[in-house]
Amino acid sequence: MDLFVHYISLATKSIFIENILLAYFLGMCSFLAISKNVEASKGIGKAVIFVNALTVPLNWVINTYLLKEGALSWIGISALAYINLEFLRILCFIATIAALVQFVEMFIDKFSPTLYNSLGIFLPLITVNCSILGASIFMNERGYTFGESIVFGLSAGVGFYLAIVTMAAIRFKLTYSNVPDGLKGLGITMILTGLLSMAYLAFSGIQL
Amino acid sequence: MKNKYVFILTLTFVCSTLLALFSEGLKSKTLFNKELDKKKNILECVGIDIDALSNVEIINSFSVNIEEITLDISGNVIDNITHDKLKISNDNITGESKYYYLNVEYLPAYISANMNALIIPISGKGLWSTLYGYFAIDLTNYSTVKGITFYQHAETPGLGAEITKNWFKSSFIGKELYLKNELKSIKITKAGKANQSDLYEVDGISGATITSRGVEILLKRDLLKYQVYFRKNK
Amino acid sequence: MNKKIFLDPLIDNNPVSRQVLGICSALAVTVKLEQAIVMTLALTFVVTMSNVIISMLRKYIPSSIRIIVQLTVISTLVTLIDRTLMAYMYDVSKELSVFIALIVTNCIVMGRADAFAMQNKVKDSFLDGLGNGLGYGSMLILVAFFRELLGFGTLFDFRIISPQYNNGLMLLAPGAFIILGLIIWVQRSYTSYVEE
Repeated sequence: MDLFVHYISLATKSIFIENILLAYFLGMCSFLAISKNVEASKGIGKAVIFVNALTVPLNWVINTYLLKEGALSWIGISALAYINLEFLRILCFIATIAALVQFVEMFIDKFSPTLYNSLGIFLPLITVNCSILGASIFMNERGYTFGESIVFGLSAGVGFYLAIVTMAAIRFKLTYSNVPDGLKGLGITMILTGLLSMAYLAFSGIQL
Repeated sequence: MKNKYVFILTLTFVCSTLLALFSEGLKSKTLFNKELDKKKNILECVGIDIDALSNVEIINSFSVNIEEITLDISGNVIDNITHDKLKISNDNITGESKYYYLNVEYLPAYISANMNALIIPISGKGLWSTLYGYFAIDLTNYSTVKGITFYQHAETPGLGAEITKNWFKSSFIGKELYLKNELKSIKITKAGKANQSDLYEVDGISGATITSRGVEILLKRDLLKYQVYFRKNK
Repeated sequence: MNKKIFLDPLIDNNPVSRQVLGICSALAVTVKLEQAIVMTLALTFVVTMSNVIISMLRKYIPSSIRIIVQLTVISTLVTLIDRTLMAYMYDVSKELSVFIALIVTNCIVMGRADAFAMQNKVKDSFLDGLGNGLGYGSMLILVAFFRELLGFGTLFDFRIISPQYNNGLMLLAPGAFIILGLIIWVQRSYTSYVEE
């Protein structure tokens, strides 16, 4: 029961209190480019949730059984227990992410060609989405357990989904407003995101 | 087909080798930095101004001013067990650190006779990560706070990470831990709400409620562990 | 011709305000000027070196795996920088840790590697990398200037404005977004660029 409450509090922290996009700024590039269209935003949001929920635990396994100090001791050869492959971490993490995204791409292409078409170039672009690599790096820095990494991966994705869909909805309403020339597009989106992020700051006073 | 795989495998091999060599070459310097950082934090905790010191001066200052001691959980000083013999075990949920030698738990600490302080390591959960730091107490009454520092954490810059800033750390200096003979520890209030003349509370960090509360909790918990030793020596 | 490659990304084709790349870190590491400068140097190194290496290898990289090759080269460079910082500037590396690693996914590096270095000579790629890195840096320094001044009242830790006038919001996420938005407004009005 205690563990369950711990997971709920981790999820709440990741989705609302310190949203990976609105508080950590990770995932801005795709956020800015895709939030023009609500359907595409939903699509990429779902893809991010899916990829995140899989890559963070997968990277946890690789980190624990391959990369950390003494990680290779499970093989049984005592000499290997001293090997520390931490310098390969970034390379390994990005490799698993690239591989997984490729897999997700093939999966979506097979089961929902319409979604695949609407996402277009953005699906492979998730590989270089800061929030995916960022979630894995946070998992490593904060020393999560396997269970925590699943919860964190899922919630970080959900947080991203929330932020991007909200922004898409706002920008849709904007099409009928009179935005000054210099602000059109990127400028007004930045300011709007600032306001959205201010709203999310209200969550920081929550005592869990 | 073959060309692709050969290319990427060669590239990966070259990159990994390069990284391995580079990493090994820099390893000793990085380890040195980590140890130096810990020493800096302990010195800063007792009030020694480290900004003006070079690395060599810091190492000298540490060996002159700071002495390692190891206690058992009943507060007795144990000779022969140096800190490097202790294995550290960290609780994943609370962030508490326990130190073991041959499966028996011990409490590491540092004494600075020159600065009249006892320094204990502290650790616990912030918002995201485990915070690691040191806490210095006055040797005369085992109640007045001499300083607090944090040397490792993964909190948010500008929010939780403010625990390493001077404004936060210096607010602890001069506060008291014990009222009559009971451990009150330090209460961390909402930012701006602390009564400055109250010796048992300090201001928390604006926008970082959970990190602030984490510090309050870990402080009391770790102080309780050493309480037997405090009481023996008061 | 060469001069244009270098000067273009500094203002007209600025990676942050015009190409809309590298926004993540432009917001995250601009709380203090010191952070912004270290980040700029790190990123400029990575984008310049990655451009050079990719450009040298461009005739040999099989097209189907080019993204993976670029990622491998970039990850290696970033790990090198990360280790160097840990060894020589330990305090700064503690503050920037996550964001140095995130240079790998910084759109500027990947963007320039794919769009420019794959098709151009080494010398031109070098200049392009340098220009983009510095263009990015100038935006970073600009944002950090305002955030540190208005938020802490200091510049490079030298006190300029007394603490009572500090606006804490500048140090948090919303401040970053809004300042960047305003800077972009000014820059785009100056270059008369309207996004459709």
